[in-house]
Amino acid sequence: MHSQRPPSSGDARPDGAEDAALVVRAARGDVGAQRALYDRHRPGVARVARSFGELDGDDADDVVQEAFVRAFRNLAGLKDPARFAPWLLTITRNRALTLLARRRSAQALAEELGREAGREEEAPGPPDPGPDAELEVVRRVIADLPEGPEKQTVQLFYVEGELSAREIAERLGVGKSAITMRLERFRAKVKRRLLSEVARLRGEES
Amino acid sequence: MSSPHLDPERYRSLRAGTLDGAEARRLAAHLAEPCDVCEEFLAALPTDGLDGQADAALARLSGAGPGHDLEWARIRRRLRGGGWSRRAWAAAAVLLVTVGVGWTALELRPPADEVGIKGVSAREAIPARLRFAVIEGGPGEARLVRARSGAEVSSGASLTFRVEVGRPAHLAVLRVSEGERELVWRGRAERPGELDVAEGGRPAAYPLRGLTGRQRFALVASPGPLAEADLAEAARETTRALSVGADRGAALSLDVVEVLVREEPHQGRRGGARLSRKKAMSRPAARPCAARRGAVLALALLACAGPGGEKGRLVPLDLPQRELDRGYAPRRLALVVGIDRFDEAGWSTLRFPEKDAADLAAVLRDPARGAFDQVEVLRGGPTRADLAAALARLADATRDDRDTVVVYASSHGTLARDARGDLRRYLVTRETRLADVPGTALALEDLKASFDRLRSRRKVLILAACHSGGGKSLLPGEVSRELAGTKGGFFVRPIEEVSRASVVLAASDWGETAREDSSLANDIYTHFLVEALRVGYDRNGDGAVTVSEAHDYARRLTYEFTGGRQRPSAESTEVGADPIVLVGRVQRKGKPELYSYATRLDGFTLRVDGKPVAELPGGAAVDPGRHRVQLAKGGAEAVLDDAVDLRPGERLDLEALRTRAIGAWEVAPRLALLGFLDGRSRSDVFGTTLGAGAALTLRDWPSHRVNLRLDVVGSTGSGSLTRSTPAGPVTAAYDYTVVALGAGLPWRFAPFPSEHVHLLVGPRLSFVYTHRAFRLDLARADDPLLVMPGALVGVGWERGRLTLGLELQLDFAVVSVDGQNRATGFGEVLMGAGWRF
Repeated sequence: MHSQRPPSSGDARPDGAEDAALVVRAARGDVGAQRALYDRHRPGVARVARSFGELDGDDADDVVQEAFVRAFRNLAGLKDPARFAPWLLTITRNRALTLLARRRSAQALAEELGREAGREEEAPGPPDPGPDAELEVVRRVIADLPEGPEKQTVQLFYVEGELSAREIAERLGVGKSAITMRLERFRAKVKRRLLSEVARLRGEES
Repeated sequence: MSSPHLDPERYRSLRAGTLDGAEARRLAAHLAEPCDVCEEFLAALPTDGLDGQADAALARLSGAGPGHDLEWARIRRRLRGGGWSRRAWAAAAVLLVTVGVGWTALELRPPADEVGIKGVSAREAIPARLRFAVIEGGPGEARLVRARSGAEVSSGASLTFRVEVGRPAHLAVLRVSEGERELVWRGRAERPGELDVAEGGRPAAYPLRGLTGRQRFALVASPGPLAEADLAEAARETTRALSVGADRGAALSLDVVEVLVREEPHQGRRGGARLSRKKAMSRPAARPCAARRGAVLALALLACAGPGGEKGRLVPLDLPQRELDRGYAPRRLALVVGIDRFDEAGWSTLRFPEKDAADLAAVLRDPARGAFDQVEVLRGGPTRADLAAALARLADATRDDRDTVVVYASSHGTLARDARGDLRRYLVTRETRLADVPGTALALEDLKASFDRLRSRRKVLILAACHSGGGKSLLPGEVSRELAGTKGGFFVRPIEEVSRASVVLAASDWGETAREDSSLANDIYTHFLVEALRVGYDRNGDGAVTVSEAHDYARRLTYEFTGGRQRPSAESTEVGADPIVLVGRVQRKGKPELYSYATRLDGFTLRVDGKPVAELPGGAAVDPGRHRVQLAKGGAEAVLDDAVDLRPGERLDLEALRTRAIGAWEVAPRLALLGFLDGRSRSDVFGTTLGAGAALTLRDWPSHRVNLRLDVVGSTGSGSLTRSTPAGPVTAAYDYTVVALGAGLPWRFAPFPSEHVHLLVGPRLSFVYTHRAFRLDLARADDPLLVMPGALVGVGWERGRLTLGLELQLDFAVVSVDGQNRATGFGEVLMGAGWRF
């Protein structure tokens, strides 16, 4: 695909309340709202797709498209419109894993991994720390990382946000899987801290 | 005491919001600190909402930006799925993109690696182009403006010239006016490219002071030094031809521009600087330095030329090279018209023409996209006169053959019979009346004619109008009735038949309805065309978006968007070869491209190395190297299956490739009837005789549709010659052998509806060897060899590899009989079958 990236329109970080309003309109078939959601979340979706070193640029683009198509088709199944972003990104991750699993000819695994995040939302969700608290958690996890290859990779991939996992591997002169592993390790730390927040809120609730 | 770590059960109940409060607090404290066990557990979990939560938080780390239009279009299409029928069609549009490529003979386009200036001269002559700019304005406000040939220029102004040649050449610039001839400049180009007409090593200006009326300036280019006779010849040609490259044989090339010098009110009287016509030839030497200064110094031009100024009127120019280059740079111009208001209520109001026009204008104007120098938008319901005036303004602004010109018009369209009874297409303007379409609407052919007259050879005409009789279009009653009674397609004379110098791309097939879409808020084709320019659809990665690329993109997306109801197509193979750049500039050799717009390949799938890459008409870019290229329709047998080596920058027409694959060579055994055209030669040399031979043809060489054809025909026989001698008439019997060899370059074209039949017309040179032996001991055998120029006409029929042909070859011959030369003609009629391989 030969397309130019339109210039960034400044700080347009997805916000839960705005997302919720857009999701309601998009679910009614408002194309403008769908486009707005796409514009707001495309970078994050692309980031997830590009975190898989085994996927090349075209694969990642496919994953991005597929994720949006699935998300918009299943928008009605999203219980909490404000949680559009995590829901969409879960779909994205699943699409990427499905693609990889298919590639490994593990059809059964693909089917298993291909579960829609939308269905998961049917259950009553866990307490939600909120986007700002989550961002703060992420910043803290990065700050706590010791200086080294993992921190460098995280900085390049998530903070600077310009390179794909493949490109980082080439730049740092390491294998694709090493980068994927570093990012996964880091994500596990983020998940741990997020889960800690969730557990804290749950503790406060009861 | 249970383990402090996460386990599936704890995790599930935490995620479900059912974990016991105390347990949750313990877990929160534990997870707040690094824990390899828990992290490993989390890393190994299948993807779930926590991943999304983490990713969403991480996504907020880096700034967001809007997505890609192209990608969004794809997502939209997939979401839409089969929902097309639910869309309300607002109107209908037929869009035509007409790419005019000037008066260039496209078939003779030089290969990309050669430097060529099209439309200037024949292959052998040196391609040469003369461009000029006008320097006008007083001291301190001198400015360089491009002017088109034929423009009016003040006598207070000066001209600068820039020359472009395709090969090293000896050059001269002449001024010719009413029989006067002046050598303005003489120079030499050591290599192909551009150079400024210079004096004293600096670009120079030619002051027009003292001149009035029509002045022609001619660039003369020759591989060898230019003699006085050459210049005289060139001057004579210049008075005859204007702006059309004339070449004398293969040696001399000419390019002529003209200005109309208008005398400035004060200058003419001041100092009586005008010279008599008689003196004009010697003016260069006689012209005083002061006069030059008077005209030129005032324009920020500096000192007199060299010692004594013996070279003529040229004066070195004190302008930075950059400014000069900027003045000569080709420009991009556009006229964009959207008509959605009509005086007569019969034409329904349209929703999108003005928006279409505005969208296209915006992307053309955008410095990061089209970066057009001039975009004029006509809106508010322009009339036919408004359109004509705007086209005249555009013609005035189009000064250079390298300028890119885009004309876009979106409105209702209609069909009507003109005064001669031919069904024509019209663009509906504000005042058009349904009762008198030919008298009140703009005929597309007229529009096309004004368009053809633009000096540019990079022209795109996009007509968004409707002629199908539905939605956006309205047809006069009698035409509607006529069409309703026609079962098959109706015949409308296509534009491309009218104008040879243009290529037509149709956004939808004839009779098909092109559409607008309310969700796109544009008509569909225009929407995707604009999108292609906006997202920079540079298929081959050469840095530029060409008309072909934009059209292919729009064609493909329109086709997909409409679920195949609207099939934009192109009607000429030349389209793919056009170099018209709409966005960016060519910065490098792009990926090789394969394309075809031939109607006979419509609907075929192009596969490269087994993978489908494009639906025809259209094209695809592939990586350089050797590829297997296949063309097939559905499950049918491939009509092309060939291995091809592709180099960067190469553009390969699949139709030509198919021709090559079927067989570029044709061998055709022939039966022949040959003989002299006059009775005397038939009785004196030899009579009409039956022979046999063969023709060997190399198709599409040296150029597209031009063939190299070699033929040989032989015959033997006997005859007798009677001569009166003092001893009475003597009859001498003889045996003869004739071998006729020929080489021709016939042009192959198919003027008939059937694609299997073609005609051949072209020059041919033949060599006829005759051996005649008398059955008399005393008479010597004679065996003259005749070299005869001539021509060849023929008709051919082909099906697959088999061909049938009938040719007539006529030559001019001079034969010597009894010591006397006599002019005659020699003819051969050949017929037979052939085989391509």
